[in-house]
Amino acid sequence: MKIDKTNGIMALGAENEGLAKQMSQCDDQIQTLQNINMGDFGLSGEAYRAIEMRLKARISILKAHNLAFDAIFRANAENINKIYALPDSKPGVLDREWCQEKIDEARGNMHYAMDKQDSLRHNLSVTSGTRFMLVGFWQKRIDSEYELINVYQAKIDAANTYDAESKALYDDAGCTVQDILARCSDAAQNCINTGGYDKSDMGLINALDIDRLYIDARSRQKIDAARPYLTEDELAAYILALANDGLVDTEDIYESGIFNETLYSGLAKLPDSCINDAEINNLAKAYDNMWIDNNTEAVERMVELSYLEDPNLLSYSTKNPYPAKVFYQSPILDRIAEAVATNTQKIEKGSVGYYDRLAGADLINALARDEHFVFDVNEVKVDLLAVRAPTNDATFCTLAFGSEMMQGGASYRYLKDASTLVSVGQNIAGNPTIYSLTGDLNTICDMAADLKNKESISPEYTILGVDYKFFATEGISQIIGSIHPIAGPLASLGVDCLSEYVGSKEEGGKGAVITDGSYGKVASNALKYGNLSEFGFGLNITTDCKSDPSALLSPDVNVYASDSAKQRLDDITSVFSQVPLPYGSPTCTDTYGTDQFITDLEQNFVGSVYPYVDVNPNDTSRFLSWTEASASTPLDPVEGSNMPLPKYPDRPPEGWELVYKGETTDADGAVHQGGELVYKDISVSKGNSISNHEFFADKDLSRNYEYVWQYNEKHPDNPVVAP
Amino acid sequence: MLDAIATDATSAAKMATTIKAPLADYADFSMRTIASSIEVSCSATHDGLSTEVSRALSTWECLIASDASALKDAHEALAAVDTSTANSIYASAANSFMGI
Repeated sequence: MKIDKTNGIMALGAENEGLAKQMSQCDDQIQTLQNINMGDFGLSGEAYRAIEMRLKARISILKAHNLAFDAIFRANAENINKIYALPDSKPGVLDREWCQEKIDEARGNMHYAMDKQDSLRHNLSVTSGTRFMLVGFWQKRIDSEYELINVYQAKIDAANTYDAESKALYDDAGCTVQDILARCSDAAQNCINTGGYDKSDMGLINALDIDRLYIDARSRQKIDAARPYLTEDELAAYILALANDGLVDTEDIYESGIFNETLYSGLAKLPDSCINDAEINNLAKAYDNMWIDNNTEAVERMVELSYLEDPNLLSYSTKNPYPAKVFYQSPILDRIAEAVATNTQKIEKGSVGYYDRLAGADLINALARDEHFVFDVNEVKVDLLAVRAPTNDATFCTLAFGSEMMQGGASYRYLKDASTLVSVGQNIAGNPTIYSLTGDLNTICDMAADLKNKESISPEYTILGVDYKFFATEGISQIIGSIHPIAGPLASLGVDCLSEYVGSKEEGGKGAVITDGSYGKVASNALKYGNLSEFGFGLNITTDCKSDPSALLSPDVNVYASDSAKQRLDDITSVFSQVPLPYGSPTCTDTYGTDQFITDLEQNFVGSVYPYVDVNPNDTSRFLSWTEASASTPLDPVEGSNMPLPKYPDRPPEGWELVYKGETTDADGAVHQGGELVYKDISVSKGNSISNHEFFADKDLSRNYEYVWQYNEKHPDNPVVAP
Repeated sequence: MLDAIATDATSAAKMATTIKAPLADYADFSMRTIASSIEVSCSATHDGLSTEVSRALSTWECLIASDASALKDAHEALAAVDTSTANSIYASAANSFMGI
């Protein structure tokens, strides 16, 4: 029996790499099948539903595969450990026969020495002194050979023990694996033969409690992977969280107002690969629930724990004789922020807690984007203040790292890139703060104006998670202090406009937050657009320090819209995409839609909502101009005429116009033919002006009318058509 | 209530590709042979698992391929019924126009 330790370990190690990949692919396929939805692919009907059911039933087989791979993986790992612990007979090899030969040889040598010793004892021709010396020599030889025999025997014993133990090891794994895999193959073959899709077609797999076994196996794998990163308490919390279904659930992190700090602090330390997307989504829901509960204390703590101490780094400064610890952002924060943003898109605007949740989404996204600084502090301390407008449709938040209340303050440094701690420039002392205003544009502007005027802040404002006494004393001064640095960034984003929107205070308005007129019309312009009223906006501004408010770290605009709002916008953009210049453009007519609308607003807010400012007007600015334009044909000078309208010279030579789709009776009872220009009934029922947005958002109106290309035969530029 | 029927060849093919995409890599796995380097009885047991693993992966590949094929079959069956129904209606309309 020869054990090539080096090659054996290499082969088993390589196999385990492959098995780990197989298990990961298994999990990916399980996720794919679990989430499969024919409707997402535009396929529906009973036939496709049956196939979907059939595919989901396949998951049991994949789980069984995972169990089998896991069993082999563990047996291999144990085998590797056992082989590694074996002694060598030659470098990297344990050869039992070779050891036996060595023992036999040593025994021979020993016997030879014993014979020599024995013969010396009876040889009287040798002097007693010499005899004593030679007997001692041969005794040493005997001892040495005896020692060798023991050494080689120990190696043989080790090999024999390994042989016996590993046999049992693989017999256990083999039995499980053979059994499970055979059931998998039989079940799959049965399904192929019968075309079955029901669970009953899974045959003997049903006899196993496959879901439970799978959860246990996955949990064990996850715990093993997480163990090196966690403290004892964190590991215990993690094991407890996985016990139920093998996943960290929303309730494991936050339930009934209680935030499980121990568990979250552990999760924040784990590498990305240890936490799957389903768990990230559960963490995002937990964060969302904190906002629904107005539990800002829990939010604060969650944010604090999302910054990890670098055990290898300390920060030194000439001003501070005691080095500060260095904290950096956990990768989990970015993933949670992304999931929160995605989930927020699904919340209907106006639903209970919508604006608080929007504020939460905005804040965590602002944090996640600020990956380029690390904190040099002894402890990351977050101070959160959230104020909700009395109208319940705007929220203002400040999230300060290391407030004045904190000893020693905070400083942070830029990172050259996310993976290295090379600082660029000097460390900047200050209190990095994130400001966030969320709501629709109208109320964002309104609230900013209120907050600017100290006397207008009244108890009707809700202070989330902070008692009113604190708000009335320190809170107000914090808000006033916060509004000033926010003014510059808001101006540069083009959403100030308050000088025009709210009017001056002396004239009875609420007073302007910002008097910079460079973008004065932007938001007031934006407020007119009906499309924007269904969308939530989040404006995040992070200043590097209060003394330099114009220095922005993240001048981002987040746009939030529910699926139904997007659907309504889809309907309108699909009409717009058929409208040629001047509103549409050749570059956008085929592809312009809701996604582009949101992207434009997020990436070029000013250029989108205010096309007259020279900041790269885009397709969305053209779209918004079109939605604002009148949908109905200008009033005919022949008031009351119900005859088909003549084409008047003051109308364009040709263009898109609104006409009746078919025979229609208008609000006055007049009957119009299909193709006749629409002008009067809309004007009467909706006033003189109805915008394209109002028209196309109103299904009752748009049902009877359509846009068609009209040729104005009366226009002087057009040839006269003979009667 | 039954779902409205919606089908098209491209979507069915896309769906089939989605479920078949991981198969090539997944089914390609094979175990190592260790009996030649580790001459103990357990190695034979280990190497013996290889057959069952390969069989399980192979039948899995066939199973998913049959499911992907079912998607194509479903689309073709639905499209055939649609065409056949349309032809009947056209024929019926033509007959009534001609007074048959």
